[in-house]
Amino acid sequence: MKEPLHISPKSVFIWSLRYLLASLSLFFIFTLFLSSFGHVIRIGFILFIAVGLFYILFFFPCKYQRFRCYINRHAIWLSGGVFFHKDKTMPVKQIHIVQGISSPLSRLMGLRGILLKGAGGSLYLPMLSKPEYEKIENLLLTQAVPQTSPVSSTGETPLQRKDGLL
Amino acid sequence: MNKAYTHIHYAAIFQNISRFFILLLIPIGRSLLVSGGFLQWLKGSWVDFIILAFILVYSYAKWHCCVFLLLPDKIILQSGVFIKKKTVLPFAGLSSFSVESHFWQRPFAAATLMLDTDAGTVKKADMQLIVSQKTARAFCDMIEPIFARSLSCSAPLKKKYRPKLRYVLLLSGVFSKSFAGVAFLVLFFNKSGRIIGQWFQQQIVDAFTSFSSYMAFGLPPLAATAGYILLTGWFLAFLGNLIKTNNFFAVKWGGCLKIKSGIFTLRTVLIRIDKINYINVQQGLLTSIIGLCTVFIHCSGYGKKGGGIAALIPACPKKSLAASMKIFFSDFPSQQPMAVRPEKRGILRYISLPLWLLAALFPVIPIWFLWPSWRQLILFLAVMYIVPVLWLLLLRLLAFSRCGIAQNRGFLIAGTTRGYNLYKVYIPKKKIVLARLQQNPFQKRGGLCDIVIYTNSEGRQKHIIKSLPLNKAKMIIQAYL
Repeated sequence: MKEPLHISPKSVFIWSLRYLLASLSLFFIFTLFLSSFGHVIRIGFILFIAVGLFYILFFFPCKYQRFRCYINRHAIWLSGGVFFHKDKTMPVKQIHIVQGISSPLSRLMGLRGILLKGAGGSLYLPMLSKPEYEKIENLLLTQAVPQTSPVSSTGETPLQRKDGLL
Repeated sequence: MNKAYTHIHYAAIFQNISRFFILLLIPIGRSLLVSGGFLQWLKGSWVDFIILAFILVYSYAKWHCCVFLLLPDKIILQSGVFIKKKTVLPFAGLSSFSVESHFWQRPFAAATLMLDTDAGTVKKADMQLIVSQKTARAFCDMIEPIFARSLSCSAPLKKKYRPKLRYVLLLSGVFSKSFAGVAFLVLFFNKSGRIIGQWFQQQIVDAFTSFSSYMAFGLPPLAATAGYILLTGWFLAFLGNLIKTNNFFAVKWGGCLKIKSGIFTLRTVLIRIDKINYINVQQGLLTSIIGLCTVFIHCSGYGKKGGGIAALIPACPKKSLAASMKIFFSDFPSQQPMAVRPEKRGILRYISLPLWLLAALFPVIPIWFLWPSWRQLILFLAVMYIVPVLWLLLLRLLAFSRCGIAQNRGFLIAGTTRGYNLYKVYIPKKKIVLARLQQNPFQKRGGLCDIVIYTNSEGRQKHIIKSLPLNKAKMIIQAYL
């Protein structure tokens, strides 16, 4: 892939929604315990609105804009970060485990993240659409490791031949 | 869901339920607190039924959502009720494959599979699933040839190794930690009080105290009790280790090492030999005096998560180590002497810790003269303190004469010491990720240095060889790496 891979624009909406849900729950718990301190709740509410506006209007759109991902046959490269810029490169040959992760919210939007685990570190690509996810997964799995399994001439594995479970 | 996917074994439901046992304490606690009999309890029991229903439904849903698909070159596992995960693990990246059959799983004919790669964390297997024993055997039959063919050797032969029982007993004894046993003892004691009652707990305390006072042999009662608690803890840890390591049996087939062990939990581990990070020949002071050593291997997944001790040879005489290791590694350089050894002027780097610990006793001397009534207790505590420190001093002196660095047949050999053990670590060249030479101000003046060798898999391990001459250390590192 020569062009940089962008994560889905829906990601900003999902991150904002997640933030709202999490902070509302926290705020609710706070209100329960500090019901007798009206002014603390009022200050908390103002803070919650200010931080929320900062995240929704600046942080998440910026995070989305700055996120870049390039993949070729040899390596996967990630770049991003709002306040601190980060570049991460992982050789495809070092990827041992590929894990797709989706929450109910991201599933609703047809998105999922992909976690790549290698010896000594891991990379996470968030909010990919299903076709992009599958494309990356296939590319990584075909490039990452050579096939060394004992497949018979019929293409069956011993497990399939022995107990017919799969 | 694709039809080709298979559900994991239903025994996983029971395991899922067991994770929520803590929630069952709510209805039990409520039943104990509510006065007014069973009917009163039943009136308010709808909360308990909701908790119980949640545990059952969630455990079932978790099992229902966990399916796997075995393909010729990889395994795919889908799991998670709310947060869905699809894990793809190619077999070519596997370091080890374990099958554990716990005693509670055997009535269900189930077993736990654990697949490990160099990725992931030290504490948890990269993929873990409960399947039927039949499927587990088939999995094993499938993975074994993959591992066997990972090393290029024509017509690989199966070589077997079964240690003598006395060596397994020795391994269990030497590597039993009193602390683990005491922790188990405390947990058991605490639980027994809750389950059987305070009266029973008090009976145990009384019996133990009277036994300790009767068998004190002139020691203060408190010291005797502490000693017996430690001894009981050690014995329990010894039993635990013996249960894990008994029936130890290893087979090498090409590039695959198959290790079986256990009594209550039957454990089979397949290890890919080219994924072994290093081989560690370990000795304590006692085993060093009687000329025995233990061989451990460091490979992702072996000895993980209560899986026992990651031993390859539980114990063998130092003289026959070469012959035993030839079974597993044909080019193992066991007789290789150290090419670079610590300099005499660097001995303090080895013995400074025990010397400082001995020096820490001097402030106690005034107490001896000021409070004569405390002398018996002070004497006992001092002896208890000095014995392990002297033991450490002797071990460090022995380490000084044995440590060093060498290279041979693709292995870097590092003689090191840590805690109460001496190590001779054989690291394959390709497994070294970093070598570092370091000097403190005293070493700088004397032209000495420490070499730190790092290997990387599921976290970083380091091996430190102290007080080597700088020039020779540089030469060996440059020649080897």
